[in-house]
Amino acid sequence: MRLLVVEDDARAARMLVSDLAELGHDSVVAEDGRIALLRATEDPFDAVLLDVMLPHVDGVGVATALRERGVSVPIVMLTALGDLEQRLAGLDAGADDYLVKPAAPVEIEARIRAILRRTARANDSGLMRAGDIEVNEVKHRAVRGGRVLSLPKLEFDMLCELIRNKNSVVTRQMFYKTVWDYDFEPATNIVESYIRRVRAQLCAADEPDPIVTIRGVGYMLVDQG
Amino acid sequence: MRFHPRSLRAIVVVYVGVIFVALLAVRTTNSVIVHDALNRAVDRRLEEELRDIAGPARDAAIATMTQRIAAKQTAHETADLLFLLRDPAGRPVAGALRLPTPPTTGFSDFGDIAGVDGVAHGRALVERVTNGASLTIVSDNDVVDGFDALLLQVQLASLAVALLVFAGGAAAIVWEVSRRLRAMQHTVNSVMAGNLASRVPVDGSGSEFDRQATAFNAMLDRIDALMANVKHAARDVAHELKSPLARLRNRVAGLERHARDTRFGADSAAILAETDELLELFASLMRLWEIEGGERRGRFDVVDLAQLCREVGETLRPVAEDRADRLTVSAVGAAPVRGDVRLLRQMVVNLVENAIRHTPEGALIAIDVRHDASRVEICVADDGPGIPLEAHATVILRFGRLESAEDRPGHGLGLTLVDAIARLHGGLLRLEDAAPGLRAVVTLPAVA
Repeated sequence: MRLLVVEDDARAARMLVSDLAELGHDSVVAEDGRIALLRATEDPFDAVLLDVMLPHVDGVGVATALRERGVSVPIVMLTALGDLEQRLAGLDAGADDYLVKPAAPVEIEARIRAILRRTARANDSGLMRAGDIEVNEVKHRAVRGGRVLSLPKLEFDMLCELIRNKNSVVTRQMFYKTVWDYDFEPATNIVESYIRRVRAQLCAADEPDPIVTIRGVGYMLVDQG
Repeated sequence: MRFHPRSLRAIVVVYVGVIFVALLAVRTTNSVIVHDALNRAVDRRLEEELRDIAGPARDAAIATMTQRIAAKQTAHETADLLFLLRDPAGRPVAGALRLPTPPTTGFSDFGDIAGVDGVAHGRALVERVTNGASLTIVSDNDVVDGFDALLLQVQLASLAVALLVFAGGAAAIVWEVSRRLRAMQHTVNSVMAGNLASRVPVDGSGSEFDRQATAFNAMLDRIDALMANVKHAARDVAHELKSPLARLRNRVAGLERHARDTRFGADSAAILAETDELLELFASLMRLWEIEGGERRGRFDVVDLAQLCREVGETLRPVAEDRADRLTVSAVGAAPVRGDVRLLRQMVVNLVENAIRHTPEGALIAIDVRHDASRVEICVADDGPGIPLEAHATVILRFGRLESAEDRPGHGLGLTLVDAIARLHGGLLRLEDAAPGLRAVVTLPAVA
């Protein structure tokens, strides 16, 4: 992916760019809000990583200006913990997601991919498919190879999240955010417990396990088809 | 035993009591002086009358005295006096007074027992006169007694009025002083509840109370500034450390991926886990500062805690069941409070996770929501090893982990966060012995 990293701290920007490069992403750095606006409107990017505290025009201002100019690129805000007001202001201004700094590159990547998928299938009927698994979000119905899965709400939501992001990682943080609406990381392994239940349902008839554990990061539903 | 009145009310009651006693003493003295003066006037009159009858040298002839007595008995201005002239043998010679037992020589009081018609209280003067005869004059003192009674009434009435004025004034002083003290108490309570910005109201009058309030507020300002300094220093350190730590974590994570199937695999996984725990600690600390900052108060809304506890119970039941724990939720109806739903959810999650993490497998964990008109109580009890009573306060403090719990996971901020969230919502966390196990109870003000 081609990313615009908006960060005034040169050292932090360099680290982030090299981390993202390791994951195969090509990044351009903008040191302040004005340069960021210029770059983002001139060049097409897959996503913008936007620091909140910036010289000239701050992150919230950049997000607002970009949306006003009709630039629909996914924006992930990077905020310091405790900046609740800015976090919410950023989302109000049109940012798609936020991460607390310093965020792990895999987490950043997973979030961007999730946003891209979300925008790609904005108007579907709630029907999603991955291999022999099919879910209908509207009807709350999940089927694998013709077998109806009995999944309670939370497990069903998890499966939907995995299928929506099939072949890319869904991090623990993402699960907590989308399935539980938690803005904190619980101390127990809630995600693991629920994944075990989802797996048990998916593989109840001895089918192969489609969920891959990415250690220390999250889970990925693999769709070979 | 010595009596030390401590409360303002007691001091004022004692003061009013002393004033009352002093007033009583003054009035009594007044009465005695007036009474004595009246009696002396009566005595002087009796002496004058005696001189009129017996002459300055008490040598008037019996016949003269008899005449004078007769004259006086009919005179208007001496109608209240009674006379008796007796010869040396004690036989009455002149005067209308008749006595079974004549009073002794000199002045004496004269009561009912004397049996003289129309004289209830009197004063008598008996003196030897010419040739061993004796002259007795009795004055009717009923007027003086009437005056005494009137004086008593006046005294009592004025005493009552004075007492009322004093007690009223004292009550007003007590009320005013109490009001100012209450205002200060209110501020102290508010500060202790975590609202460090509250101050004692100052009315600008420059009164003692105002000066006191100003001094108190200045002290609070100073404490506030010091606290802010400490907090900022801690925050700066945390922020400075967090970025390098996160970069370290990312590097370690990369290393761990490569080392996974080599002989460094186990060690790098352990290093990664340690680093993650450090980062988690930082996240919890910053979360705590965010909560203590009170910024979230502006986003409060009505939250149904019963519903929230059912939801958290639902979420954590699989985690509990994976450890063979039994998690029950008893929350009937709605228990509305004003608050931040995300923070309250974290609070309940932390409480239940605390129970799960600090009990051996197979524990019984019960979430219980009770509420009445004024408050909502969330109670999370387990049947684990519990916490010794003397350590209850410590575990709520920052990093107040039990010594014996060192081998268990966690960095000792779970209950601190719960406490901070409860306080932000005007409530509090207390720990109780569930015998066996621990019972954590959060009380929050209910919404009507």
